[in-house]
Amino acid sequence: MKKIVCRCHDITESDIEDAIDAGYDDIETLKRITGFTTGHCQGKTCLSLVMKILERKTGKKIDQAPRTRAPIDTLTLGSLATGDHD
Amino acid sequence: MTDWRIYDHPIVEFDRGKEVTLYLDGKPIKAFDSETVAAALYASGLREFSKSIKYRRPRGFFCAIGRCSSCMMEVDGVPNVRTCVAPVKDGMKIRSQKTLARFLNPILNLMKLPPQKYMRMFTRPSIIYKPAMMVMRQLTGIGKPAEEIPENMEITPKSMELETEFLVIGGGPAGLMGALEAAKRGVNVTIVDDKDMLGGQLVKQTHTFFSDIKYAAGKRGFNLGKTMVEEIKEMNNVKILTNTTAVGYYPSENRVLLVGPEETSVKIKAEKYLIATGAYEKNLVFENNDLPGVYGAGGVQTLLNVYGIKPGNRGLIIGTGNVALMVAYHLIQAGIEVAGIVAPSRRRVKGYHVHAAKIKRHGVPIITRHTIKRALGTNFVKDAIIVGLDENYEEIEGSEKKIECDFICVGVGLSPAYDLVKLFNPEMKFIPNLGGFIPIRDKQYRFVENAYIAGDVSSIEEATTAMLEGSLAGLYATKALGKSDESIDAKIAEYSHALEEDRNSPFSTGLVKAMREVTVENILEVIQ
Repeated sequence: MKKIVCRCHDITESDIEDAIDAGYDDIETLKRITGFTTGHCQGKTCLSLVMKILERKTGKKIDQAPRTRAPIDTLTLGSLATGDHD
Repeated sequence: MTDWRIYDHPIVEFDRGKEVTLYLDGKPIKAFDSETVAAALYASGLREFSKSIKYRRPRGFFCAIGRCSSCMMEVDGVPNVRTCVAPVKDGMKIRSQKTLARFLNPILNLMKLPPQKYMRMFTRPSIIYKPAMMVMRQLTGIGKPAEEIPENMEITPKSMELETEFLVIGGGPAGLMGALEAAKRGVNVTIVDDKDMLGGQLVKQTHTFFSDIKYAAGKRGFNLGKTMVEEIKEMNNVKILTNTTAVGYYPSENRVLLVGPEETSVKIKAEKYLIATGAYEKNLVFENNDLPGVYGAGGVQTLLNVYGIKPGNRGLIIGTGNVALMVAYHLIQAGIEVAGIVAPSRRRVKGYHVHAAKIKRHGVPIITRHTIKRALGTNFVKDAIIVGLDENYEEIEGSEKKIECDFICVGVGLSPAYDLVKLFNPEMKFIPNLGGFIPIRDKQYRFVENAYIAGDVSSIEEATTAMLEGSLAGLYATKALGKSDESIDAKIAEYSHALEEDRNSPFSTGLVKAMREVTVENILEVIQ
């Protein structure tokens, strides 16, 4: 039975653990390889869960989040197309 | 047809509005025009809204505040709409974004590839990339490409550029109070909120606040929200933008980008900003934790108290704080059976004793030293397995117990919605006692030179403290804008005192200590 960490991309707890075992053991590279925090919700469920798993696996204290970039919420291409273009 | 709506609630009278009809994959569904799409579908008995992207697992309602991605469906041709915040319109056509993959489910479920492997699949030789993508697109179900793109598409530019003195992002208790205090002193205020009505999460609080603040004491949360919204609507120097999301802040331009209804984009520049974006629900990792029927405590409160819809017949609550206790009480109020509150804490729950006693009086067992291990059921929750915990919070083998329930409510706390704050380039810290990532701020509630912070986004607390913080941030911003009147310093002193009183309980010692750690004298000396 699966333990889902990220609902947006169906990332399971074991996906995260495998990636950490494979050497992706800091939050930024872990994000890039597994894709957590990059789904529709931008990490609203998964970040705190992944931080806990990473702390447990590496024994290090995690106090950094991956970088935040705009846009921070979903938007349609149409709304971008209507702006000015200078 | 089944109807999960509550028609006789002891406290709340639900004004559901006019009856309308929705069409789910062509099938008519009864709805009311004050409901959201997700609420109407839930009331009709639908639990599975879509299938997840990779393993095609059932997905349904979860957070109810438009923060997660669980309830996305295709609404009137627009894919990936968060149905929990999309208001109902008569004749709306909903599609569940189910795809070919439902026939392949058993095979896809066996798929077990670590992410670093599947990222390299179908990329070489490049000739197979495109056809492979077309197949995968058919399987994922996150919307389909337009069948035909018209040659001369008419684009009506709906973009605006606005300026305001004080931009308040988030129309909950903190944001509304901040806007009110500033607007009373003649500041031009704009409030932005991504929902279709202001008031934030106050709308779902049916209990009475106990607090020293004159404004709030003795009022039920939803009435308090209504009073504030009415007051703010009467002011003519306040501009309200609802259904509008702040998607970014660009420091080089000092502007916030908003996206409003009908794809309108708004660039707005303000002299001072107040970020009161609130928080969102935390989740737990356990087996089948994504099954429809596993809901956030806030989601259950919304269903129950805002829309008057029963989340199920018998619920199990996970969590130890006030939210878990509160939601249990709300369920009992509505006549729904509570199977128990499962709390990992050692001796007693961490919430207020008053609340815990109230729950116990109603015969609800509070099961400490236990946590949830597994949710059972294939398409929605049917029973749960809980497990005992030892001194080190490790599961005790063989202590599993089955609890009968048809929904599980996870109330394990909130995380501040810090995304927008971070775009202002503040100094962020991770403070578990305050909920998670928060910026360092000064005593005037500034976290950068031109932006203020208040409410749950600055530290997870109660609605009453959020209101006080919001008021104070509003007053300080007013002062900085040079619009202060004689009463302003007295007001600041009054609110600061009330805030201290509110936090002066044994429950708040950890919080107050953490707060001291992140509060500096002057923010300008900390950030360059």
